[in-house]
Amino acid sequence: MNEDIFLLDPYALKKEEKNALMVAGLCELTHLHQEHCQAYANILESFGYANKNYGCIEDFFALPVRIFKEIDLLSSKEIVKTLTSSGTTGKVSTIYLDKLTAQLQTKALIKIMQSFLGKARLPMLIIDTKEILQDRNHFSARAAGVMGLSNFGRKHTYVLDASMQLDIGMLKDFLSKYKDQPILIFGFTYMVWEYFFKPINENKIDIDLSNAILFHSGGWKKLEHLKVSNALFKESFQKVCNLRRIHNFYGMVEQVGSIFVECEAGHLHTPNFADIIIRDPLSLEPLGMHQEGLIELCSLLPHSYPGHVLLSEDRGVILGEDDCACGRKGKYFSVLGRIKSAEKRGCSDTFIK
Amino acid sequence: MPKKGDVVIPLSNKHKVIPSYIDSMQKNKPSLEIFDEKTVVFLEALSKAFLQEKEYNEIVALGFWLRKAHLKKIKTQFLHKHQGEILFPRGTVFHIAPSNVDTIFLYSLILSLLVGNSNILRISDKTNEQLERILIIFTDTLQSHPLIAQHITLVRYGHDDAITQKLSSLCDVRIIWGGDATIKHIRTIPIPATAIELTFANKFSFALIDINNVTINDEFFERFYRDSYTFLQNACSSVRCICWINNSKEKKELFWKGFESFCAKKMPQIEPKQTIDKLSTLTLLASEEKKEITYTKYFHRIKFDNINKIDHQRHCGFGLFYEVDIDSLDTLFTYATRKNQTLCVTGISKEAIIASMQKNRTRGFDRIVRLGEANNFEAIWDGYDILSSLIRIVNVDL
Repeated sequence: MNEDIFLLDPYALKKEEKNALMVAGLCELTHLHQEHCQAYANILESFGYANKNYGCIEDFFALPVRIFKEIDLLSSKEIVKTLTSSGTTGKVSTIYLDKLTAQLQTKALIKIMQSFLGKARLPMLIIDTKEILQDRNHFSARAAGVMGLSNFGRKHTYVLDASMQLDIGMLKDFLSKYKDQPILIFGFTYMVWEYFFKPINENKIDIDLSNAILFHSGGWKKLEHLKVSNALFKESFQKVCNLRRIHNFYGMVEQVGSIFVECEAGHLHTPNFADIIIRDPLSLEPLGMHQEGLIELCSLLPHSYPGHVLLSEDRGVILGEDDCACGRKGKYFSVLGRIKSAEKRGCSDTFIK
Repeated sequence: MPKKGDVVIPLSNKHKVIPSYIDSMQKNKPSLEIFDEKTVVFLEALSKAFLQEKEYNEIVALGFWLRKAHLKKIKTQFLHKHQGEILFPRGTVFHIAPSNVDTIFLYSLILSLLVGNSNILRISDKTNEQLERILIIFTDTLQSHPLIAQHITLVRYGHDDAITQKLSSLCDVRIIWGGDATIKHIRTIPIPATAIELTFANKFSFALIDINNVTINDEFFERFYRDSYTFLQNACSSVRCICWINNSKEKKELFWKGFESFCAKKMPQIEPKQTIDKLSTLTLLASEEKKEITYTKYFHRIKFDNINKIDHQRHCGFGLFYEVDIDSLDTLFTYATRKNQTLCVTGISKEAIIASMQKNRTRGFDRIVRLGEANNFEAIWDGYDILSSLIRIVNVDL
């Protein structure tokens, strides 16, 4: 890919420029993976995409993201790192990274985060335990997330112990040490709520986080169960610890680096090197703005595995393009949750769990 | 009504501890004859009640199956087959029903009742509106037939081997309505040495079509649709694979184009998750080897170049059609395995099929039916004559 794109502000490109860049980039990646990944070539050929002309991003074949749980897909012999998803269903996604892809992921993430944090590395509080960083060559999605975000902070402080208990002493020391400067907090949404917010709230611990910027991600499935919405999440932090700058982000282990961050106006944004499409869940036809459907994610980063166009199992809606109040260009959207499993009818096994 | 997680015997309106109740149930009740008049009267009443339930297709189908004329036909065939024999009910039949085809347990129960057995039915504690409706009608009807009621015990419980063990120890016949894992597990629980067992395993069914001998019209599409989209291809008898015999690509495409329009009118309910399931299955199948895949709004097709490559395990249902071309019936019947159940035929003669099955001593297919009748339950199922399996035949040789 043309790395000049990293010289630009990550939300600079408007519709036409971006589309041209995305189509050229996805085209290049499609050919690359077709040539180097036999399974991917078989799939494209079977679905009639072997010699297709691509005019817009909607023209590409989207791999259902579940396929990474079923088979190994890779287009490079020089794998330096593997990532695995923290699957809740038992099966685990495995993603293979070569040096180039790993570098591109880092660069992309830096560009995105700088748009929200500035260039300085901030003192960083991590709502997790150190234990997750055991094996440096084989990361879980959680560890990869923590490692990725760690680049934007210094004085990394892991504030949970191995049994997910909040170390209040450690937290208070950290806050008093950096009380007059901005700090960065990162954690997975569920853990931030369950192991950080809750103990603070329940034990009435008096802390002021008005100088903090919180980044969190990792799906709302567990929180939906607890009836915690994004709005309630934000409201609660503001009320209890005066934390106002909160950014949720959406992304997946299959496309690390090109994440979609929630802006000051509360919208998830597509950066220059990534995009989304909403599709009808039945016909898979692309839908227009404000229509709800399945989220398809495009990214220019994956060079070592064919993960550049993926059909997710999440529902979402595009809210606008190039005109968000925050000033960032590109599409902005919101995620509405995971599609639900329907009851299976027929003579299958039901007596045994 | 039954409560989740409990052992409930709704007929007595009392929650009782299984062992004592079941033990007393075994004794001192007037027995039923084979095709007892009292049973027939009860089933007629049940048929009438079921036929009222217009909003539930499966219940109406059951009511229709139970109608007087059909029972009479079953009786005639049975008596003809066993002419001159001395017959008795086997005794107590323990039916283990699946939770997701709501009516199966009743077909199973009715056949057993017709030949005079006492019955214990295990119904899953999973529930849905249709199942509850069936249970209400069934128990209501039983209220006015107390003698029949003494021969039926409905038991509702979750995954509890202790209860299954107790009930199994009491039966003369155990019937397990699949799938494979259920059968495997239940078989670890013994039945008395004198008891027998009928099992209905997971099966995979085909349509066999010679499109050259078929009029492609809505009536044809309707029959094809009924056999595949009822239960969204998840019943053992659902059509999941189509065998085309010497049919041109043009003719087949003509069929599919027409079927696509037909589906657009029918608008089957397919959930987003199910579309993703189909797409993932196809992607996986395609990753191994190039195949021809076609997708439309309501169905996806994948062509296998050899019948032996068909992957039963990965078929997910929801409007996914495997296709394979064969040049003779022999190809199908040499391939067929014990895992194949129903063959829905159109455009090919009965004689040709029987001849090829016999010539190849085929190991598969337990039902050969006209397209459109895949899901019609019959007393001969999965290779068993269910009625005849539920009686004891005494050999009198004097």
